[in-house]
Amino acid sequence: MTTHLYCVLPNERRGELPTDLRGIEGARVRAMQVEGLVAWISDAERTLPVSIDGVRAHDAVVEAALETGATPVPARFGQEFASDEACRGALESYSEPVASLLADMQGFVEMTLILTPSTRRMLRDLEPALPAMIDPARPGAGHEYMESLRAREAATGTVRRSLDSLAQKLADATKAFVRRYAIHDQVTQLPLRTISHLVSRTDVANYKQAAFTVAATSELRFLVIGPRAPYSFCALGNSDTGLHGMKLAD
Amino acid sequence: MAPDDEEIDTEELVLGDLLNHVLDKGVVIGGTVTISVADIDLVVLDLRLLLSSVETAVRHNIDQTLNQLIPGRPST
Repeated sequence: MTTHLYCVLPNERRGELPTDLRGIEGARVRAMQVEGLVAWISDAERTLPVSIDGVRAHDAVVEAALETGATPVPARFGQEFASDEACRGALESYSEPVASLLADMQGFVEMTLILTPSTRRMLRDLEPALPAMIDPARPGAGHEYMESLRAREAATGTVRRSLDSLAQKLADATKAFVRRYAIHDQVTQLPLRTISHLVSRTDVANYKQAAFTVAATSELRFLVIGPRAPYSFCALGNSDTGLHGMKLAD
Repeated sequence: MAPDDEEIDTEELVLGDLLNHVLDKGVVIGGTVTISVADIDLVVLDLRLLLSSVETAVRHNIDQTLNQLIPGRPST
């Protein structure tokens, strides 16, 4: 039996755990007090594989915490603690920075913008320029591969420049409501852009309104996601990157 | 509207974004979801290359998740 950590909340919210809130694999979520804060945790029967259902369940608990009116500091998915006491110990070892982070996040939420080409056709239009599976034994395969990389860069470069331009327009339109921002790494070859903003709860409607004054082009569109817990602004502990909530264990 | 002119599925984009936020290995999973959005085999290739270099991803059973997302996918 291990302990799964979802998030932490200020201590004054200790009584606000919804009755019978269920987390990963249907486990009942419990509140555990730790030095001036409350951790929402549940039991896990075994090592949990990464799965879409698991991530959704984790996030649903964090969202329930957000709905208490306080802003939780979310834990990164997949951290296992051998017991409640091990989880408590990890949180106590970071009690000061966690408390500071919690205080810093109160009153704020995360909003996320996803910029993307408008249609599947536009993505498919880029496909011929993407490097195909090349038989390395074929004569000239190396040259062919380099040429395909060059062609892909030419095709996607135009889209990326358009994305940059749209991102700048959105940044200009929303800057009055943005306390901090985080740009998520672009790791696939597809032209997508994801930007997170930390916004006051009271400014969420204004933020959305400002974003939607920016007209998407015929080639690009954008989504506004949120309000959500501030995953992208809660770097803490053993975090190689601060974009995914606090990390206190492997 | 022709099928190819359809907007990229919002629900899938949102799911990809959720995975990318909640997982520190989300870049890998996010790429997978992007594949299902875009339906471009090459990105599968990119993802496999990426997977081969991300030891922790394998440790956390990313391969199992890939199989859920891409039925019939050969094991890596």
